[in-house]
Amino acid sequence: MKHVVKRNRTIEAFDIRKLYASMYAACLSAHESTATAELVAEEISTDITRWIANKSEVTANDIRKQAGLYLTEINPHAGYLYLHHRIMW
Amino acid sequence: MLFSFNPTTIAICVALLMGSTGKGHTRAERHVIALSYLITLFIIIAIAGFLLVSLLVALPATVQLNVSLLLSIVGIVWGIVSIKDYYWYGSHRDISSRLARTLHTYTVKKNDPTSATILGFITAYATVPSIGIPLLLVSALVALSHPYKITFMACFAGMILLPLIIIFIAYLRGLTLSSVIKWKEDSKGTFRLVLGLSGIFLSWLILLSLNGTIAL
Repeated sequence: MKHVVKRNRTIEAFDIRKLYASMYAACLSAHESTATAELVAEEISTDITRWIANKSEVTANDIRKQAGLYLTEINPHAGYLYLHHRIMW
Repeated sequence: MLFSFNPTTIAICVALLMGSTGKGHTRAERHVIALSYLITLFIIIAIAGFLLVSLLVALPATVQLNVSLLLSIVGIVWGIVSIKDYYWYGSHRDISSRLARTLHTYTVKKNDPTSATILGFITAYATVPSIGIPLLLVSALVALSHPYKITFMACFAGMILLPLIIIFIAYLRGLTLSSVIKWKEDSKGTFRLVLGLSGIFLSWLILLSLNGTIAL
């Protein structure tokens, strides 16, 4: 089982559904249709599953960066939103 | 008006809109969520302003003058620190990582009118470093004016929210949130410069008023 080190240093099992949901939400926020959002989320989930396959432990930040990279290639607006919306200062 | 351009309020507003769209809410639901947030924030800032002005006016004249003098000094120091951010933003953070996580929860994860109302309170707390000092300075100026107009504090609260209202309307008309975030990221140094200069200007006005050079 893959493990994810969260920002608060807790460790939890990797859950692809969480990533799928965040990709889907980022696409909707970039004014994409639900059908497109589903396609993009599906594609990136597959990419990330492949990327994480040979790793036993990754940080949440690593996943975020990698997913953001894939998303930016497909939809730059959604990718930018995904990578930067947490900056509150 | 110049105080309304601060990175934190804009970032929170964009995150709220992003969460609202990302959850697949309808246009009407997005309106309700954004209005819950904006109205709560307006009420908090206006009430804080009313209370500050009332408190300053209730003080004995000499104490009020000393407090105003102290506020103007604090305003100048705060202004200089803000101007510094224009040249070196560095790892400066207005809010802690823990608060940022809470904000993320109430903007992106939970997204309904109740959480938007709670977010209004959290935003008011999170933006104290950005608009707390301007609020104090404006309150001091209003308290020093004769006759003082306490309703001005409602205008101040409205002005603080104006860019957020404009962003919300523009977003409903098709503006991409990524462009707002990019604009905020590219301009945050300039925002700090403007905030700092405005803070120093208001402090200067208080000092001029205190020594009788100008009558408010």
